[in-house]
Amino acid sequence: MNISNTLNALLILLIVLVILSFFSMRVKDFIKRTHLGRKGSRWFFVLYGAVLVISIPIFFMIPEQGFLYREQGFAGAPEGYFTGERVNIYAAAEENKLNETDGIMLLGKTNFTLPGEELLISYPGGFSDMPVFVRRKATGDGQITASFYATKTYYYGIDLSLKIKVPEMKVTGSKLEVGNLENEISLVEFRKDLIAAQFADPDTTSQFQGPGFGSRHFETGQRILYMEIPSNVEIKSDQLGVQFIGETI
Amino acid sequence: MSLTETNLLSVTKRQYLYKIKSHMGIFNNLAAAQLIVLLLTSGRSGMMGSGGDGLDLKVLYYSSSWVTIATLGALFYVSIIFAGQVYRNQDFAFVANRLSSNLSNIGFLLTAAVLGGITASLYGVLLRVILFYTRGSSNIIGESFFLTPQDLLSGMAAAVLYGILCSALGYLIGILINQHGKIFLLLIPALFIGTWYLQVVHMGEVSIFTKLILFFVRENSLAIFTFKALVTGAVLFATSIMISNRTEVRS
Repeated sequence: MNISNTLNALLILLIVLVILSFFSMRVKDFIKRTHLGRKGSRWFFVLYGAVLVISIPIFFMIPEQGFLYREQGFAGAPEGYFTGERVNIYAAAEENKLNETDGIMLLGKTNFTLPGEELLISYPGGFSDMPVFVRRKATGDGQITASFYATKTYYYGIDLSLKIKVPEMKVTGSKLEVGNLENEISLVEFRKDLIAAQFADPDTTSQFQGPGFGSRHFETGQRILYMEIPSNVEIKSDQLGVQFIGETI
Repeated sequence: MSLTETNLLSVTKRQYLYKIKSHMGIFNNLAAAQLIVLLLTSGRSGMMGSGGDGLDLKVLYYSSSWVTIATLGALFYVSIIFAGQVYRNQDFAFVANRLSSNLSNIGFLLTAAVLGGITASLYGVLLRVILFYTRGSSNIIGESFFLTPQDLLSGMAAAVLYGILCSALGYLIGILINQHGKIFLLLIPALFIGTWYLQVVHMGEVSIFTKLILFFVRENSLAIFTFKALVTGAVLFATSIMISNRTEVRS
């Protein structure tokens, strides 16, 4: 513990004392009011202690599988190793190598037949800055394939990619609606308590040291909508970001 | 003069048992303090949020630090109150002396420190169990979740030792307030806040007060910390007894 943490902890202690002096009066009033009395209060503590004791065997029976863990080698990995920096999804799209490039995942895919020669891409959920890559096929068969690709998302070396929701694609006539693009991931991380951390041996304990700050610790994967359209189809989008591969404007 | 032969140990033991029975509410308050912290914080000690590209990440930090602080605060507070006039006068119901009264008080406070330290450490275990069943393992970072029995026991021992230190310090302050008037009620918080303020103003300069705190909090060896805490606790309690023994009659 450093000096400032220690003094802050002591300041908190002082505040807690004031709060406690207030609550101790309240608790006494509560006990009197609810006729818990001395016997009741004794059982209250015993009950609380029993719950704490019972939690010990339950805790040690929790299996280690199913939790989130850092990928091996994270500690020694160079900056950007776990991120999109090492995987260029845009270049892979342009080179038609999305399925072959390691680190790029196919999140979802849909095929549909377009009745006309114009396709409108719409985002009912609001603004989307997700790039759309479009490749024209050599034929005009009316078949459209829309696929979502993404690079991996990491938090401090923990792969969160499987927590990213697959975007929804709905086709109505000549309109493709893309939704469910917003994702919110909520994680639980335990920190060693102030006192336990004082005696923790960094060489033998597996304490998660926490992220600190910096781009390395939370790496958002890049996502693209990749479409293959018939040669005679025109694309319209209510937002920017449609890029035709191999074509110049 | 009493016709009954008594010795210090048996009187102290009787007083101690009486205090444990009659002041059970204090343990109740310790548990209440821990539960209040759980209610107020939901066990959280902080949060980190980050986002971009349609993805928001929220990391909720959990630890038992707040409960440990609240427990130590409660022990400190209880010790001051316990050294006060109201609690001291209860000892006049016994055929006893100042020494047995102090020893039984110290016994009671040590019991409170042990129970407080153990419950504060186990609170972290309970919190983990609750989160495992409410949030699911797929949302919990495994590396920070699991504790070894050694981690748990050393955390417990350290919390108990800090509890003893807080109790011993609180008891001494309580005795000083009791013996030398309310001036200490103002002097001690003023001393603490003043030191904290000077520390902030003169960054980098370490005051004696801070050095005393660092003497304990910078100790990474549990064995040496145990020695330091027990010796300091014993010195503080012994000082309290000596100051208290100067009062010859019921005041």
